Amino acid sequence: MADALSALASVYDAGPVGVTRATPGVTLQERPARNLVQLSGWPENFDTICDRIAALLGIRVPVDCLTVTTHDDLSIFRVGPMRLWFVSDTNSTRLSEFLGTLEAKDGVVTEINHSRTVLRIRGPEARTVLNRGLPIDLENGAFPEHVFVQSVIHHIPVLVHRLASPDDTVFDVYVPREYARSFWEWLINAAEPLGGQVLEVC
Amino acid sequence: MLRIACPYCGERDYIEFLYAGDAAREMPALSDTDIDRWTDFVFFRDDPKGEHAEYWQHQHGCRQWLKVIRDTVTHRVISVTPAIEAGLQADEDKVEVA
Repeated sequence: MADALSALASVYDAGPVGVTRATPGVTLQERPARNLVQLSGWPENFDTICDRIAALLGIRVPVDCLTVTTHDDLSIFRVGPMRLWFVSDTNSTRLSEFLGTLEAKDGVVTEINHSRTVLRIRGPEARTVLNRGLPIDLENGAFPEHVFVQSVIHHIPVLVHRLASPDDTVFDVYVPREYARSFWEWLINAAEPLGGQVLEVC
Repeated sequence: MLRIACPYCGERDYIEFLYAGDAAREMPALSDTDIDRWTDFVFFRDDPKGEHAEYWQHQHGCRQWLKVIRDTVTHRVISVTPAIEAGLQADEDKVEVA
């Protein structure tokens, strides 16, 4: 299969952004396409599906629409009361096997790998940059590690996930591919006054 | 600023939501042939001063449909219920009445 081309390919330039600091206030980095699968369930049997996920994948499905659960390389986001995202960096055989067991009466499975551009925002000013457009409290008490929100930045729907990190504050932002360039322009503008650094795609 | 407490995502700004109409209307039965009742349902809306039931969708969040009771004078949000639960409750009420 042909490799997906980044939506930012024509505008992505690694290097410093805005004011110069000894260490950048924030680093911006596009993550390569991730395996992203959406499962939409039905009200009648969604709890049963959650039990099957726990049994077959060894991951408890989050009970709320704010928490991420992770086991090995596979994470589950509950993006709606009966809608899940399975996210991983590698092809998970266990996930493929589990999805293969699902029938139409169990739910609707949709691969959405190429529908999202994922950006990693890291550094002491990461919160400040995001809060220039995100109306969500990102401080530790309100937005701890392993938590995510779905909201709007620059009129663009985004999913912001805070990752666990002992050193820096790290967020992954999932942006719809069709708005990725517009979001990137906003992000660069927001980072300039704080001193940013665009890293090579990891 | 209007803020709505989504039962699934927590309190959020209204920019994440889509207003989706009056939740107080009741559709006539499909077998109802009274033109006045259908005209009233399709074209006319009350403009209440005070509490008003409305549908909102958390478009940029969990995408769930919500039934919101809002004060049209103060914009205070009085209650927010998932529409699916509100609908089920309404159906149960109808059964009890019958």
